[in-house]
Amino acid sequence: MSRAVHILLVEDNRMDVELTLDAFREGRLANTIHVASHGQLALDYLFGRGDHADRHRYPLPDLILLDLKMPGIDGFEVLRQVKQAPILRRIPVVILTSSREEGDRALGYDRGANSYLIKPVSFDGFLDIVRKVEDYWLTINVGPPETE
Amino acid sequence: MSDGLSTPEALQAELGELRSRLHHLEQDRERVERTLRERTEMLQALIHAAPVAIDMLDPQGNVLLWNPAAERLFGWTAEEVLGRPLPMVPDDKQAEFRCGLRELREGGAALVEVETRRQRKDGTPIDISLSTGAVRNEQGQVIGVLGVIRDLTRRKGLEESLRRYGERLSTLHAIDQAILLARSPEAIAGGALGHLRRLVPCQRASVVLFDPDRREMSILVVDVEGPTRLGAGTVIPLSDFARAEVLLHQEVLQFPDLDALPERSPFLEQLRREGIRRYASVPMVVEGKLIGALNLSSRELVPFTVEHLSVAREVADQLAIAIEQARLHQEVERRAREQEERVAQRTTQLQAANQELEAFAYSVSHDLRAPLRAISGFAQIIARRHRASLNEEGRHYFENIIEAGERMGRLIDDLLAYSRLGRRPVEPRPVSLREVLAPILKDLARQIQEARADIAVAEDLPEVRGDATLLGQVFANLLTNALTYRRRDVPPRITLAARADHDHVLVRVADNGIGIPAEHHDKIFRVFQRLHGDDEYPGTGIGLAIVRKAVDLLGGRVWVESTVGEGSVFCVQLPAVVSPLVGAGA
Repeated sequence: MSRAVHILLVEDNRMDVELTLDAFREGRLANTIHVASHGQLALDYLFGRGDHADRHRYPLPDLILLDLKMPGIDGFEVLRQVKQAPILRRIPVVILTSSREEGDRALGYDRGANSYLIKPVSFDGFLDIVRKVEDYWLTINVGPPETE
Repeated sequence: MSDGLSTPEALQAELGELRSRLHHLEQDRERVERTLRERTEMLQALIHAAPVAIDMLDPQGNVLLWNPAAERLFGWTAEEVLGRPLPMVPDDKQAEFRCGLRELREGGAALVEVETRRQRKDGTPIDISLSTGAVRNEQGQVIGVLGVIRDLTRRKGLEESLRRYGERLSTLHAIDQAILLARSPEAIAGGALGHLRRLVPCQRASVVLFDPDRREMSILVVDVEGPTRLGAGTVIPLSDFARAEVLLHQEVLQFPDLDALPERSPFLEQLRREGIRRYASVPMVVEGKLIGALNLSSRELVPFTVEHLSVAREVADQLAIAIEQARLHQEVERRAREQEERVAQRTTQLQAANQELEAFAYSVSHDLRAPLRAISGFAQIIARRHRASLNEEGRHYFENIIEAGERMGRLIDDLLAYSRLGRRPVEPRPVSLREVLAPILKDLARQIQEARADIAVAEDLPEVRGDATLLGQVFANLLTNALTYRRRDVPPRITLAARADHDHVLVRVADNGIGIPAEHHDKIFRVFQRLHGDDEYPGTGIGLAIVRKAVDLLGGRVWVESTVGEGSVFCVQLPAVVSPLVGAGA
């Protein structure tokens, strides 16, 4: 890894954010996690709008962890815009949600999600998931070529 | 005289003889004349006294003889007709009359009792029976034609009234049939009017129904010649009708001449505009209640006869019953339909409410997960990372929080699984029970090992018609229960076997566990019904409810057979896979 790994966590639940950050802190990799607490903020970050225009402070992430159910612009809409934007569409998007609903799963994959994970209730399960995401998406998986 | 010459004596004698013969001849002639006179008088008396009309015509058709019966029958006196053409042949019978006359003149056959029609002096027609005969002179020429005429009016009248009576009967019968069929009031009345107009001459017949509450009357059906503005469906205020109070007394309301009325109600005025002169309204009464009227209208001033009105009354009576019955019938049908609609509506409402409730249960359980994750997550972080800064009691309490969180997590997961059932359409297809069971047994491997259990799954499991996911939930729950509710110190022995029988497969999951008292055999399949404390046997009280719901969705049945202290057998009856050949069924 020549440079730090950047993860964009799109999650409106503050406690889930803290648990996720905590789980990643227990992980092995040196990650920088950027948090967008709602869909609009996620889009502003990804499209470099306003304050987020500074790509040094807010670099394009290597992985997007996306919650689905959020007020206003929800995860599906964020996903749609990401997968339609030429500069963003190759970024792996891992949906991390409480929903096991078939409709949500279908729509998630239809819109181009790269993975669909269900948040476990137990913290141990949560830790396990975060570790596996790190292992798979940030270590084993070979990402898209760096774009200029 | 053979010898030629005669003597004077002989001549004298001969003369005397001639005189005597002449005398005889004269006597004979007188006798013949007398006889003839007598006979003529006799004949004349006969003709005079005959109760049948007798006429005689010359070959040109002029009247030679006209007897008193003819005078009486036709109204012309002998003086009025003698020497003139026969006056009582109506125009439409002239050709027939001439033809008969000519035939007879030319030696054709006489008529015997031929029925035809003549007219009286006052113009009224009269049905007669005619017999004829030719009168000839010595040369055989026809010099006169005799006609003997019998009045058939009475017989005709009898026949006519018989015919009308028959028609009345058949009309009433037709209406009776309509009553039996209990069709719509419109159809009943429409059919009856058609029949009625054949019996009673009128240009318009209608049935109206009264609505006393709304003080209206509506025209149910009209049978009319030509266009009308008072057609079926027309509703008019009762006050615009005419003297309905007469009908209330169940009397026939009659207007012999609308033109002669000093003032006309709007209804009668409209009829008048449509050319109606004469109007009669016959009440229709059921059980003393006036429900409507049968109306007859005529453009002619010829009165409705007593017979016409009596037919109309009979028809009105029958119609009243028929219409009332049909209305009752329709009312019953309407109520039944309403009831059905109400039931359907209620069912829809209940289904909606049920779905809403399930959706609510789902979203509540779902939303409980996030705070629960936070509670147990942070409790675990503290218990693990900040263990050192807690005393024994603190550590214990945190362990309690974590344990309760785990239980609540299982409960939520089960609830979600339960309410997720049926949210997805089930499409039954052939499913191999072995393939359903394999992953379940793998998941349970650790529990089986820990309990030192023995699970024997039959080799020859048939296919069933179902849904792999639902079947997985059914058997995962049943096997988990069989492992859980075991007797202390007795290692679980569990068998799973199935038997195909006609159109279903019966799967039996038998254990040697604690068993279930008979009074709980139904209760255990309901949500949150638990027979044991969580410390004794852990569980959420949802597993068997999931089993019941999934089996219901698959169109099957589930029940338990059990003896306390010996074990339980859970029986699951599922639809068998019907072979396509049989399924296509000849």
